[in-house]
Amino acid sequence: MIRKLTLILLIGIAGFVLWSEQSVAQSPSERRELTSQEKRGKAFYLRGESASGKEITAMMGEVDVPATTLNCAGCHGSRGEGRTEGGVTAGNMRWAFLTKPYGHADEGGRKHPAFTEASFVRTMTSGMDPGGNKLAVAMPLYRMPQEDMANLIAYLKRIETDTDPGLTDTKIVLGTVLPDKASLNGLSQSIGDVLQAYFAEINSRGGIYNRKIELRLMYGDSKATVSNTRHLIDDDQVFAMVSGLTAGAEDGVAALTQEKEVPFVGPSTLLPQRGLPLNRYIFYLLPGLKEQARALAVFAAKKTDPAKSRVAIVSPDLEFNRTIAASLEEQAKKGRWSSVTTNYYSRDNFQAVQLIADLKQKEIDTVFLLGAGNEAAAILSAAETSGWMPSFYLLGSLLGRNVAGSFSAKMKNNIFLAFPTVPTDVSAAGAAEYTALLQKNKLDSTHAAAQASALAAARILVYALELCGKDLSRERLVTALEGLYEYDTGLMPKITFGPNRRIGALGAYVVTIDPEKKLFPATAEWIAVD
Amino acid sequence: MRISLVVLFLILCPMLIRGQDEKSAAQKYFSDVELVDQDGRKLRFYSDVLKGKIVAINTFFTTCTSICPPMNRNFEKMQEALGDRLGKDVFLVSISVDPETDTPTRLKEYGKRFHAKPGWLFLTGKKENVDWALYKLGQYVEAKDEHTSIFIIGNEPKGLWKKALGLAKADELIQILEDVINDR
Repeated sequence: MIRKLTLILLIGIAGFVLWSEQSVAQSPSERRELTSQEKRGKAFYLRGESASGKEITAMMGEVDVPATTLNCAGCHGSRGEGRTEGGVTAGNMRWAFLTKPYGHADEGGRKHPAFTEASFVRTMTSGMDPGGNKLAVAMPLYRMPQEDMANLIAYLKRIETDTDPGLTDTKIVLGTVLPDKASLNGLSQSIGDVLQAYFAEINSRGGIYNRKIELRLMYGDSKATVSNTRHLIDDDQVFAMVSGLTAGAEDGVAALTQEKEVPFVGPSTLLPQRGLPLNRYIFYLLPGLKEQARALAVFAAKKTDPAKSRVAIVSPDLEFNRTIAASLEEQAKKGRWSSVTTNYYSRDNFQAVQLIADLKQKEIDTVFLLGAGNEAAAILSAAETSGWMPSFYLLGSLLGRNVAGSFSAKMKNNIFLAFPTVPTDVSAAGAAEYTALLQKNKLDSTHAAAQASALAAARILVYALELCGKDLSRERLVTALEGLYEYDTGLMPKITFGPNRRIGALGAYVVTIDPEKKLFPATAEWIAVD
Repeated sequence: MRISLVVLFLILCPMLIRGQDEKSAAQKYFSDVELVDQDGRKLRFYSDVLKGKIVAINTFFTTCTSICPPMNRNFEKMQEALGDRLGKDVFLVSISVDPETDTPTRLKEYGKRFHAKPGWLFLTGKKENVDWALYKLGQYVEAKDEHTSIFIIGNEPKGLWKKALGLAKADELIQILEDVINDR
């Protein structure tokens, strides 16, 4: 009899185990969208915004403060997990925790029964917990409409499972915006292909904490860049953006990532945004032209005596170049250069010979040239013809392909160019991985430089995602990226970010070129700027 | 009689001079580590921030979203109550516990949120210097989230120092500040 009973019991337990496993297996791993009520509750929880559009007041002591400055998430954490700061503990706000049937005993010894919806509302408005105890002084009281309170409670019931968009237990959705496939000699296609191939490789190794990466690509001309980015964020619900080409629409894309709080690793641009307050979500890999110009100035200051040197900045009279000239002037001021003049020339009426004669007459010894390749070539050749040889500093990225062809061997020791990266940045391991990826996926290397920088962005993103662990969120990703120090992608200079630093390689290589021996670079020195 | 006075003066004189040369006990204790304020000015901790002043000191960091804003809101109330006295003999001093993130520019931006006037110093600097200053105040913490919600309110010339809970009602804090100003 006892044996029979035991058997029944065992079968029962086995059945229960099977049943519960089944229920686990059936649990939806896909992310459920928030209902509109939950969304409104979230807006209050994260930002203190009322569904009514009116301002909600938080009472702190006897001071009224808008709830937007004292929102729930600030103290209780963006996922309601609760946090301690300055000895003040803001409790766990997840509904399952709040309603634990046996109630709560706080660290300070305060005890109270479980919350119900009604007692929660009373607590928020009266400052007394369900046990009739006063709440900690740091907890404000909220004067808010019933509707907002109901929304908040609806969201607290859901907060635990509310992950960021583009994220489920099994996938991470990423987005990349590229120019038209037809344009730029297939550049977009080859960047897109190499990114897809790299993420497929990561997925084949098991993904990131069992999540597979899904890359959504959008192609279109520069006018469509912002709307394509918006589409990826709003409609495709990407978790983060990676690489891509957004030339001409950088500001729009940057503003959008900030507004929507979407991390963006490795956007390509010649002028990264560095203004304050910082856009926390954008992580540039390489320096822009302003940073490179400043590196040139730092380098030049080491070669000459800033107190005696006579410096000229020579630039086309265009808005784009003027911003670069301005950052050079700023750096010159920091370097305490005593004599700096800026000469703007009109592109329509450009006369290199006259310009050189003027500079020579002014006894300039240090010239920063911010023109394009043909203008720089004309100026250098005019200087050579006149037998005048100051030091020339140029931005390699503005000159076009045929840099070495612009001057003769005689001038090689007087010409210095800034580049964001040089071929020696590519390590043996980095090159091997890149080549293997191309071979395995039968891709060609026509656009090797662009592919390498896309790959570097993808590697950094994957590395940071791995650092976040299973409990991933956009906020955690931003923090992980901020923690990167001299991370070597094997494809470009080492990458360092920080709370106030959003350009991974902050500085530039200053290189010399030997046109005779066709050495690029003949010498290269990395100059860091701040 | 006159001679003895002169003698006494001659004996005392070197002592007085030596007394001026030597560091005071407070200076020795607090030290003069270099800190930087929101305008990028370099300040010596004791000589420029504390010496001869009445100060209310708190610790915070600019990216803090929980107790720092209400604490600094209380500082703002104290600033209002001080009126013209702020920046003359009474100073508010907010020291960052996250100096690597909180650059002077960030502090300047942050100060604007609380309508900080000259006389309210937001301090950062090299981490080891800031750590030392915090340590001397008993406010050093390993992790930024652990910083206290204590205000230290002191009258340096009188050697009177009080502590208050930074999240208390502004009126109570203002009263404590007034008491310290009046050396009570």
